[in-house]
Amino acid sequence: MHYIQLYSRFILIYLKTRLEYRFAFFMDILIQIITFFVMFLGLWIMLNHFQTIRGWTFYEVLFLYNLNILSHGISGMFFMSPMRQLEAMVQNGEFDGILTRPINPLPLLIFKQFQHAYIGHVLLGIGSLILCINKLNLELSGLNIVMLILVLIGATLIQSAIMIMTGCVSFWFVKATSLSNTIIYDLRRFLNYPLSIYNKFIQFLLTFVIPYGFINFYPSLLFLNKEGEVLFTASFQYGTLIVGLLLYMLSITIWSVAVNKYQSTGS
Amino acid sequence: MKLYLRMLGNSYQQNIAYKANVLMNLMGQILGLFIQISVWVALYGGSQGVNSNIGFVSIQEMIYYVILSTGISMIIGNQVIEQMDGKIKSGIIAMDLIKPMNFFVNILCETLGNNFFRITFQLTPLILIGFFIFDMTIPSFTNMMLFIISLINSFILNFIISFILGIIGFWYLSVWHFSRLLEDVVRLFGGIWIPLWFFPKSLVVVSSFLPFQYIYYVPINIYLEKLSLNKSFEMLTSQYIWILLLSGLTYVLWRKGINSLVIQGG
Repeated sequence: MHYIQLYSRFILIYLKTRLEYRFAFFMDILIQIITFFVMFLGLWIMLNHFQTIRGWTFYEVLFLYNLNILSHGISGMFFMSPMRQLEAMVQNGEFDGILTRPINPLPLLIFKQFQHAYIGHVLLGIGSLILCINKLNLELSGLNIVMLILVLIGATLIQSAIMIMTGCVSFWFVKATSLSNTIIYDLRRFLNYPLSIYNKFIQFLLTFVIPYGFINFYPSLLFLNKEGEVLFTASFQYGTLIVGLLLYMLSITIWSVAVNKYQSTGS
Repeated sequence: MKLYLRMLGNSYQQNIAYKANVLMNLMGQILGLFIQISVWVALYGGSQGVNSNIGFVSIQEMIYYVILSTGISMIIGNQVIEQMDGKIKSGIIAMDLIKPMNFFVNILCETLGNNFFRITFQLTPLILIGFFIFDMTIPSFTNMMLFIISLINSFILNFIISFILGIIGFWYLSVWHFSRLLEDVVRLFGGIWIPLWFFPKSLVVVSSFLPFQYIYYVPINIYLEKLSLNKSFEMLTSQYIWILLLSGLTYVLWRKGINSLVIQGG
């Protein structure tokens, strides 16, 4: 309760500072939407010419794609900026200041740096998911809605956990940005298309090592009834929430180990 | 001239300082290439070739297309918008302007230094992959020459377009909006991601009014010998026309921008 109160204060201040530059604020959001619109247009061009990619139609791929965008957007709003700036904070000693505050450092970092640009991801993700559900005539029973929400929670936890873990790398290595870029951006590009189009090595990597597959591919099989696409085992379709919770707990453990062994640079 | 060469060398060497970055970038590029190839193989779904706007396209040609497009992005890519944005925001541009050298050439040299660096450390591995893993072939001598000329043109074109957006930084603070927009438009209409071969007719028409297809799509098509000799010359001419038009625009905007430039403090 205390945290919620505190967070609403922080976010109000954040929005006030950002809305000083109103045009830039809205452009930040709009630009994200345009980027994804261009991606969608590209996907449409491909699938307009080729009809399907390994049996997946345009709207099916779009559904898959948007599970990724939406969950990335939600966790990005909270975790992206703190984890990106952690490297600089550790280098210039600013992180010492965070440790002296009477509040847990992880929530404090999250409270301090909201990232409004991801609102674009979230709006677009929700809009496109609704469009896909409509176009694909997916049944909107109560059970399905609950499942979708649970999947989104699980997917958001996976994305957040990976952001936290890549952030933690800054505690051990001075220059960590390029590594986290590779993991957060380059590897996540695999999620733009169904996992089944890649070779076994990538499928294994994105299922067991960096479980990005659970963000969108496995749950999509469930919603889109793709029985022919089972990789490894069919039960993975239900795995998103469990993987999300486990991975998130792991990331929090790594975070506390990292913070405990943190030694100030002294500057 | 010696001065500019020196700058070029400096920016080359600056890059060497970040070895881990280089490695990670290369890995990112190779992953991207791998994804693209997987996607096209899946789209072709086992068939050897498909029909397109320019006739039959085999899966082999499509894989070459992806490799070429990745390679070209290493040769002609630039960070001009970010560089200029940084200089304008920090006020360093004032120092650059009083130095006895041309600002445009100054930025160009930094870019060339970066690009030579990428050519040595990223393009070389890519070429090895292309020729040894995917059995790429070299086009005929004429096409190779035309390819090199068109590639130089696309570097210039891409540089000028970026420079124009960089100038916008004189008036508009969040320039990354424009750099992102440019990236998106080039990705689609430049044919980096999907060749215009597969575009519906209406989008091909839209694209013919824009300069972007001359950056990636045209050189790749020349390399793959998809254009007749006449058509190739026509495309090279269009490249020159766009370069001329946009250079004019750059000059006008630059004059305006410099006049309205106000440096805060110092």
